Amino acid sequence: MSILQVRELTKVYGKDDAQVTALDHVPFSVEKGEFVAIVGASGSGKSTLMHLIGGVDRPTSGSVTVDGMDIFSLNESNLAIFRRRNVGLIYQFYNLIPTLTAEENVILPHLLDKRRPDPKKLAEMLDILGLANRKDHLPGQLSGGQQQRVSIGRALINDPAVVLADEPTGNLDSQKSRSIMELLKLFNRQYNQTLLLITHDEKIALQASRIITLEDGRIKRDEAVRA
Amino acid sequence: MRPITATLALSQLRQNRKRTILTIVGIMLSVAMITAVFGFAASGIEALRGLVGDQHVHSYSSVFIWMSAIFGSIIISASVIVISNAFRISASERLRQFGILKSVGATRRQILKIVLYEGLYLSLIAIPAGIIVGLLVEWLGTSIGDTLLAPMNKLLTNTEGIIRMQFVLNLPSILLALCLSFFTIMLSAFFPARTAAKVPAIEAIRLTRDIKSDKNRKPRAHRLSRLLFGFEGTLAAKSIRRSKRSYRAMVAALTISIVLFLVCGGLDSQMTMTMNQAYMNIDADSVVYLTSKEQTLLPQTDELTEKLAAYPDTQLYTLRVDKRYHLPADDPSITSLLQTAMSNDGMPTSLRVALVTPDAEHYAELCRLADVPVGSTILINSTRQLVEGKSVEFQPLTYSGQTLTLEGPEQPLSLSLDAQLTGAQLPQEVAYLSNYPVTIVVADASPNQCLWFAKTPDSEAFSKYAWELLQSYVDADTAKTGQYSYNAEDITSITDMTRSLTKLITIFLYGFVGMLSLIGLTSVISAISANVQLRAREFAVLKSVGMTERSIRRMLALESVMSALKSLLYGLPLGSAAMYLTYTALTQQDGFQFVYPLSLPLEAIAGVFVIALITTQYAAGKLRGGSIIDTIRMGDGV
Repeated sequence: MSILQVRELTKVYGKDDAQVTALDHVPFSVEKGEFVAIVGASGSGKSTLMHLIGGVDRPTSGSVTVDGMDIFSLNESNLAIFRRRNVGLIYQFYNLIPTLTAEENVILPHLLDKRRPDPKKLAEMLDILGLANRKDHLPGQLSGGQQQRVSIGRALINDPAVVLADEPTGNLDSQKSRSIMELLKLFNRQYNQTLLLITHDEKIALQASRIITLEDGRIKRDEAVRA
Repeated sequence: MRPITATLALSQLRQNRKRTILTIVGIMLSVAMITAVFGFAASGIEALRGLVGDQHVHSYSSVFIWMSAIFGSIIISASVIVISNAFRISASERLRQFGILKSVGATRRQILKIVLYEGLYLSLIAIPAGIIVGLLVEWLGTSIGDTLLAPMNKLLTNTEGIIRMQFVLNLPSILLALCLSFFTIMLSAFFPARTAAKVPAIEAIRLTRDIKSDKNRKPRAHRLSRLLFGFEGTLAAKSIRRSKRSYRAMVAALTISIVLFLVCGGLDSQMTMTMNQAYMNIDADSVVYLTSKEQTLLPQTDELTEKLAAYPDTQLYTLRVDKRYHLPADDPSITSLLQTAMSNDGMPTSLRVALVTPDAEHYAELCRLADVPVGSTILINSTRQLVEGKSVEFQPLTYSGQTLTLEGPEQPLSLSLDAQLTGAQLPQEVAYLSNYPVTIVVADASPNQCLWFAKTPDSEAFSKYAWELLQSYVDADTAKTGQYSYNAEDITSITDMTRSLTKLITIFLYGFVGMLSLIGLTSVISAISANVQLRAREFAVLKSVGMTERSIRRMLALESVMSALKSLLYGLPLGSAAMYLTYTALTQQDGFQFVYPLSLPLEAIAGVFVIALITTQYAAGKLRGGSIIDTIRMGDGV
């Protein structure tokens, strides 16, 4: 069974004359361990799709099933709990909590669950992220690339069913972009982590195993990338 | 292990140290005021216990309890506005952060808890500190109060109790202050917390809340603000309109301060006037009286007058009063106002009359004043009576040179009136008798009361001398004991006492207003600085299109000035109305008109602008640093 199933997902913003259909009956599914890039011009509905799959927004119609759970059948608190355990979100602007240290930001989903992560696993994670000696720094004391690593760690710490990354390299220079992409690919290959990456950068998209192209809220193309 | 919600609250407080301190100061002041008010009530009750004894204290203590309840609820409502504003600012600043937390899987309850934990941590520091400060204020206040009450105690020494204000460490009232403060803080935190928790994650991340309200109501600036303040004025007016809620709290805090200032100031000036009226109008240092309780006449009082006048450097105004006569209630010359006043007492059949003879010198003066020869009978056509609950001064009789027939102890007395004197013409000593419906000056009254108004350099010594003189006079004849009452009032000391009482109340009233204003000030400062931070991006954009830092500062200054003007616009009329209402509610006399103390609104205006100036300086200080591009690019980042 697919780890992620999107059925007839529709999102309409605004009312009456000002209505904008951001997503128009979008269907697709993703298998475990897939690395999918979602590309499209600005306004094509990429970010809306990501927010819906991530469960931070609710659709006008349609459904999203993550690991067998129809996420919009959950009430708000249960959705929040589901999200902290099964979905990892990575944003362009990192979106870290400025008052928490790098390590605390990474384990935030655990902390919200009133759990402590396995120290060995955390140490390994920080090591992979290259943050081992920066774990007590506040986000403000880190570079953009390091901040993005923290947010990747936060998205992955729970072994989520799906990781969603929205332009994760959009705010970084090319060298840092490359290292972030390497990191994401590493998690994808080594830990069989399902990854959805939203980008408008074709070069980045080509690193995925499959590319879905959105245009005006619909899927225009859905093709595998020949490695 | 500390829950993450508590960690987040604590780290937020640590990071935003300046505002945390400001909020703590605000809460501390509120707690201090609540503690102090309850403490003063406890001291007041103790002071009364000293004065009236254990048995009677309960009948008076309710006054103190009510007063502290009223003051307490004013403080609490002002505190809720101010403290919840602090929480609201802190929560709305972090709306985006809450959105991130939600997207990472935080529930509403967890967001709510973060803000409530903040309240808890602030309380842990601010409440004990506030209680200590409150106790200090109480100690200081009671010490000042006790010093000011000293002249009163001097007067009270010949009676039973004395009145002392002492610092009372009343545990129940401290506990009550503690609970009320905690309740206030949590209540103040709860509503902003609930609002923040409700914002959907997606909106919080995108921060579309503000933008939405922009769409609904496009901020429009009055042409006036543009005309007065130029382009910066337009921008300032717009941003005030947009971030209405931050400014609303600031305007509310300032308005409350203005209203309280005016009410307290009004009360103060009214009280000073009343006190002046009650005592200081008698231009005498000491008032001595001897009264026969029965209808019997006093024996020769000339000897007493001589002895009193013999006191060094002393001048006397002597009045001999005969209070045995009555005027029948059906006398045709009685005015309708007097009839109304009399009907309060269930229509008596006759009115009390005072026949008065001043000493020879002052009698001659009165006759000259009325333009009649010495030996004439003069109607004092002025009385002060309660009419419909108000003390009113009016003419009791219509004068037409008539002959009045008075009912006396033996046979009726016919008095042919030669002249009249009305209110304004009267010497104050004669006006002293105005509680009699009818007062008539005659050539030679046989007195059953004698009054001496003395001007003397040492009123205390004179009063003592007079009192002992009267005592020996009364005690000389055992038959007289119990039939006579006498006293020598040291008016100068009473005046001193009222002055210090007035001063005492003034200090408390202004202390109260001052502390409330301080609480308001902390809120205003935190509102402004939070606003500057929230708008960093807006300022950067303005700079990038070529607005100078000076212009931005000007814009900020204008925002403060406009808020100040707005609070004055609400506060001055509201405060003046409240001032008038307290005047009408408290005053029983119409002897003096309601005089609007013009200096008060001027002081209020000056105060509000000083606050606006301080906050602007503070906000301008926050502006420095930060490159334009960074701020624009990272404006929506973290």
